[in-house]
Amino acid sequence: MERFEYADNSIGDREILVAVPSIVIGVGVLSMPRDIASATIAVDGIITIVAGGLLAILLTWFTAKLASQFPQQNFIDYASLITTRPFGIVLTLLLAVQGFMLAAFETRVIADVAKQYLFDQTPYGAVGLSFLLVVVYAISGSRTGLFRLNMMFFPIILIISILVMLLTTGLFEGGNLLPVLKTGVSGHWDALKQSIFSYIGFSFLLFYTSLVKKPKNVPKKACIGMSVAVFLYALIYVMCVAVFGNLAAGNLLYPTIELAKNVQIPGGFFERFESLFFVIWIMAIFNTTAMAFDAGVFALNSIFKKDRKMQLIFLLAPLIYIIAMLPNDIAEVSAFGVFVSYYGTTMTAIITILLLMIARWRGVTKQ
Amino acid sequence: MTVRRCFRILLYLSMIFVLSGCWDRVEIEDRGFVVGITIDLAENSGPDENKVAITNQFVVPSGLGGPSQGGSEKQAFANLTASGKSLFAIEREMATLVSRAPFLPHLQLIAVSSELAQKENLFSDVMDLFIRDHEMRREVDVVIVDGEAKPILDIRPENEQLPVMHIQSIMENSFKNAGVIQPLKIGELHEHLLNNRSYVIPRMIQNGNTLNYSGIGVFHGDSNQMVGTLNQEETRGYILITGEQNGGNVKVETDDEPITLEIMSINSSMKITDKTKANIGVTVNTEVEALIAETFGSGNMTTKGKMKELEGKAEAKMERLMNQTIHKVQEELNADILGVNRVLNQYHYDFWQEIEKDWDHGRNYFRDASIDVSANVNVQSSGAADQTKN
Repeated sequence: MERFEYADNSIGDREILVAVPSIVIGVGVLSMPRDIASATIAVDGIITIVAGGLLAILLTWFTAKLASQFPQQNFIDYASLITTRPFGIVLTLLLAVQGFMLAAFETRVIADVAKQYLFDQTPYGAVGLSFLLVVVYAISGSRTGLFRLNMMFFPIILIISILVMLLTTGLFEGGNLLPVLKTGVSGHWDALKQSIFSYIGFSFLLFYTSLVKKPKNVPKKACIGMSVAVFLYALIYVMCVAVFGNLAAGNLLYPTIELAKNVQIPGGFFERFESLFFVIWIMAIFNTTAMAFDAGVFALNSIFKKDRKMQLIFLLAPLIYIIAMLPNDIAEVSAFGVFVSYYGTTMTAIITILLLMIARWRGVTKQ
Repeated sequence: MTVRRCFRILLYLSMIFVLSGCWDRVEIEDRGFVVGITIDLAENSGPDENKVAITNQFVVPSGLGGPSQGGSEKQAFANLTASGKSLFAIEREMATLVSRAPFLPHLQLIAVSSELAQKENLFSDVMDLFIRDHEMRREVDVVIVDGEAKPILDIRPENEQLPVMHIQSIMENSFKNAGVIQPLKIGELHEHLLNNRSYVIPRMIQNGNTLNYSGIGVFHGDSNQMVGTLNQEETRGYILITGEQNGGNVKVETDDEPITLEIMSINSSMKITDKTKANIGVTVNTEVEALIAETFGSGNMTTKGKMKELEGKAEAKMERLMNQTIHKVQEELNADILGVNRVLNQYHYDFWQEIEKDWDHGRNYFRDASIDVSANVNVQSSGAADQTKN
């Protein structure tokens, strides 16, 4: 079978700017206000969200900086250059695993959420399978196409988030935001862990920067993209706390969805706004899953000399599906989520900083 | 080659079967749209087993009729009662009694009988299903019905086809008349239940075919049971203290002529002035904007002196209303529904942490708090005319 190939197979730094928030905003934001609100008092959690966000922006900058020092080189190439080839392969594998686990986690959560709110009878396995099949279809095509899909979906996602918040301003109760600054250090620490985990996914910059022709501006653009995500998270958190109060926000399973359910459009002709929200949020989760899966495939493929993209996809998709369906209940799913976040954050941070330091120390620059 | 091609075409055609599949398909004719639910204590409930009876109001679409058909003879609703211990089990049992399975996302109203609400913790247990179930929206109204709740679903309204819609429009329209509060949403109730603070729920009294939406039921946050009610007068005081909503009216006597003021807006603010535990000082300032709605005398309304006098009288009257309410909730009901705890939590957090455990239960600091009220009335205009008779 021949496939149609696009003529232009490289992306610009503008695509990176959109791709960063696209991959970061996924299922995390649906439950994020609960995790943060239950650890903090009133609206104090916003401090931790912003602090976690700044940390994430810093890490994004490091990641992008490292990758952009080696324009049009794959991660495995410059990792081998900085360290050694076997070491480079190990690092690539470690990062690829993160992509697959993130894809599996996103698939599972979207299946659970869809079952809870949309399909009462359909088993989550069936929902997850059809979702994953669409993802597989998306990443079988050109990588550039995936970035263009991000460009197309992201404005829609932003608009619907802002619409949800605008339409719930009527329920905004300022009193719910008080008192300020009463959370202890341990509460902030717990919340900080949760908030950093909502920002995982930026490690894909290590791979995708090689697609950018002139990556000089990539670190800056990636940081701007990350700030969009931080800003959106902070806004959603404030709205959830102001509308529900800290206690209720901390006791709702998916506060962001409940926020969308609370939307009432005056006139009463459109009652169930959340259905629209769902459709569009599935697009956001689709972006995240597809990018995570593709980044993993991209990483693994770079180890082989021949192009084995299709074989890898068809080999890995069933594996991802099985991993996604392994957790038995919501508690196990969130334990899986915590593991994925821990793994992703620490792995990306350690690998990036290590490589940056060694590169500086040994004076390695591009070939 | 041709065999492979045929096989391929067959494969593609077989996909059509998958396209039509929908696991969750329910025809709209098979759904029983529930618009209202009442919850009572079951008649055969023993002294300590707390069985509840639930009545669902289903919409019968054929009874509604289109606008062109005019009013049809058929009744537009059907009420169905089932009882048991678990609400969820009752709802499922209901599905076996009726040809259409109950479908709850369009639920508008939950009415709870005052008898059930007075049982300790039963009310919060009953509400659990409605808060937990993902089918429910957080915008459902909750009211307390004096006595038995079930008969309110049997009211024959004059110009509405569904009793629940009738009840809802009563609630929506009567906020203009002070003495009622706006309906409580179940989402807000969730916050109250989590907060462990005392709260109020609007109350209805049925009188034959008419419903009065009047007064409020007071719930104690600690035991989650209804500890008493505020009548219309006391509710007016409550609204003036909390500034929860605008609207209402107040009657004032000046020089033996009664004047009715229509309240346009209420702004109240509460401050903590004294933080000694045994005698916490609270001041409430209420700013009221009002219009002259009706006079029974023949005086000139626009002179400055007259206006001042009127405002002074109105202030005195409002302060009396507020003090009456404060007295009742402090001495009799012992439940802080005025929001003093909210102010303490929001502005004096550390102090609140010390006294929270003994606020309106236990050591009872709330009862000993001295609450001072002051009202400030501003009459904006005398209406469209100055004098209507001479």
